Amino acid sequence: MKNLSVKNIINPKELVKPGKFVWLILIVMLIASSVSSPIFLTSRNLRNVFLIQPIGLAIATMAQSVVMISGNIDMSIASAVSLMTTMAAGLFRDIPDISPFTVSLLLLLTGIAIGALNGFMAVILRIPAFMATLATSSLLQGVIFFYTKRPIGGIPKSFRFLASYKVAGIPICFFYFLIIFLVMAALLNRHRFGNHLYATGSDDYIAGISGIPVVRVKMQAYLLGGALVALASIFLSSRMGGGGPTTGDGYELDTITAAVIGGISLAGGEGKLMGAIGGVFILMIFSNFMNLMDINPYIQMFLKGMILILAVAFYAKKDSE
Amino acid sequence: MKKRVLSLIILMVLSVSVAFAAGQQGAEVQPKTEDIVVGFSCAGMGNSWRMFLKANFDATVAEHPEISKVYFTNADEKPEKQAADISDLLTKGVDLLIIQPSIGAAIVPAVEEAYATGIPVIILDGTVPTDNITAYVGQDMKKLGAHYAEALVDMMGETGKIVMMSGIAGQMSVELRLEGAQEVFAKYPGIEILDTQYTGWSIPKGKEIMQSFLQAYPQIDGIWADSGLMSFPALETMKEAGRPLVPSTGDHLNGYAKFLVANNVPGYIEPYSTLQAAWALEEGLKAVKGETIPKTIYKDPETYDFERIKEFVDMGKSDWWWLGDDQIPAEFLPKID
Repeated sequence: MKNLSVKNIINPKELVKPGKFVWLILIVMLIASSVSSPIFLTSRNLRNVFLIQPIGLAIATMAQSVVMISGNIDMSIASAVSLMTTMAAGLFRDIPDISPFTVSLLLLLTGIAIGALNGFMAVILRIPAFMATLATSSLLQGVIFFYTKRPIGGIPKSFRFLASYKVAGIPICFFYFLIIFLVMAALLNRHRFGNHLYATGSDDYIAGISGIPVVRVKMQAYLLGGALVALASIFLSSRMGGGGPTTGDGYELDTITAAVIGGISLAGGEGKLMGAIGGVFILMIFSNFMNLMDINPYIQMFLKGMILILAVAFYAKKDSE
Repeated sequence: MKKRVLSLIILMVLSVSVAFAAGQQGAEVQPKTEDIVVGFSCAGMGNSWRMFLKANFDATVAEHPEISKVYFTNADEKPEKQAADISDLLTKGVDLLIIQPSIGAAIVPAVEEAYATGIPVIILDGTVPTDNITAYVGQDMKKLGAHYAEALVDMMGETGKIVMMSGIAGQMSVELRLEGAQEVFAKYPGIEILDTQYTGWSIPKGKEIMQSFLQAYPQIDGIWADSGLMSFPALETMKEAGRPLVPSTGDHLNGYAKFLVANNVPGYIEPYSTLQAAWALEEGLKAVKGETIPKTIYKDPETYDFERIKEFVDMGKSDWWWLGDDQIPAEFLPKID
C-alpha cells in the first residue's frame, strides 16, 4: 500500500511502472480526444466507448491475462469465440424453444472443455503452449466448418437483451462485465489461487519446490480462461445477433495486445487484471478517436502496430532494469 | 489504488448514464437536399478490389455538391469492430449510412439500431439478414456464381473434371456465389467436382492450393473461381508445373485477363463490380432526399467471353487493376503498380 501516497502518485518513477503507465496513457488519450473532437464527450459516444464496445474484448482479455500470468499463452481464443458464437446462433436456429439459460450453460461447458483441451496439451503433454493452442484453434475451425460454412443469424431478442437492455441509461452488459471483473480480481488478488498463479508464472521450478501444485495451477488457468472466453462469447453472441466461422477473427492478437499494453508480462508471473482492462480501454479509445477524427484506415493500422511495439519495448526495458 | 480506480470507473458510469438519459434522440428524420453527411462502413481494405471500391465511392461523392462531409471506417473484417464503427458513425450524425458487411449475420443489431434512427441504411457487397434496411444495392451474387458455372460448362463441352476456388469462407457474398455454381454443376452429370477450397482471395494461398490440387489430381479440365484473384494464380501455377492450361472463370482483374490473352487460353470474365459503392451512394442519396427506393436493387455489369477479353484487356496496366472500373477522374484512381 506504500505506493498510494500522493508523493508516489505524482512521482514519475511510480507512474511509469507497469500497470500504472497504462492509466497515464489512458488519461492523456482521454484529454487529447476530448480536446480534438467535440463529439468525443457526447453521451452517446461515451456510452459506446466505455460501457458497450469494450465488454467482449475486456472479458476475453481477462482470459488471456490469466493464462499469460501462469506463464503460458492462448492462441485459440479467436476460434473459440467463432465456435461459441456460431454454436449459440445454431442452437437457437435448430431448437427454437431452447432457453437462453440453456444456451449460456452449453457455451460455458464448451469453453471449459476447450480450456481443458488446451491445458491437456500444453500442461500435461508439455507441448509448447503457442503450438498447442494454435493446434486447438485449427481443430475448432475444422469443427465450425464441418457444422456450417455460412454465418448464422437470427439470435432472438430474449438473448440479445444482454447487449441492448439498459437500466437507468446504463447497459446491463456493463454490470455483467463488472461482476466478472470483481470475481476475477478477488480470485487473483485475495485468494490462494492468485498467489499460486503468480508464483507459478514467475518461476515454476521454484514454485514447485515451494510446494505449489504447478501442474494443477497451470491447468486451472486454462480452465478458467476457457470459462471466461465462454462468458465473452455469450456477450458477443448477444451483441452481434449471430455467429459464423470468422466472427472471432483477430481476438487472439487483440487480447494479447491489450494485455501487454496493460502490463501483463509475456514471460508470465507479472501484471494486474486492472491494467489489462486499461489496455482494452486504450485500444477502444484509440479506434473510436481515429474514427471520429476521420484518420485514414491505413494510417490507423500503422499506428495500432506502433502502439504495440512501443508497449512491448517499454515493458522489455522495464524488465531489464 | 484499486479502490480509487474503481471509484473513478463508477463515477464515469454514473456521469455517462445521467448524460445519456438527458440526451436521447428521436427517430423522426426529415428529407434533406443539401449539407448531407454520409457514412461508409467498409468491411476491410485488404486488396485492390476494396481500393477501387473506395475510389469509385469517392469519385461519386465528388459529383454531388449536396454532400458536405463523408466519414469512412474500416472494420478489418471484424464484425464486432464494424458494430462499433457503425455506432461511431451514428454518433457523428450521418444522414446516410452505407455498409459493406464483414459478416452480415453478425452485425444485425448494429444495422437495426442504425435503421431505427430513421436514416437510410444501404447495404452493398453482402447481405444482412434483417428487413430493417432501406435497400440492398449491388449484384445478384448467386446469379454471378451460376453464370461462371454455366460459362465453364460451356467452354468444357459439358464434360470434365474441375476444381472450385472460393474467397473468404463464411462470407455471404462468397457462399452465395459458390451455391449458385454448385446448383448449375449438379445439372451436368458429365462434370465432376474434384475439390473445393477457400483461398481468402490471397494470391500466395491460391498458388499453394493449386499446387496441392496438381499433386492430388493428374487430370484437371477446368477451374471455377469466384474471382480473377484465384484463377490468375491457379493458371500461373499450372503453367509453372508444365501442365496444360484449362478453361477458367473469374472477375475483371487485369492480371487474369492479361494471362488469358498472353497464353491464348479460353476464359470467362464477369465483373463483380467495384461500382457497387457508386450505385449504393446514388440510391442512398435518393432516399435521403425523400424518394422511395426498392428494397433490392440488382445491377448487371457487362460480361466478357474470350474474344471480348482480347479487346478489353490492358496489357500496359498493373495486374491488380480492375478493368472497366477505372472510368473515373485520375485523381481518384488508386496508386497500384
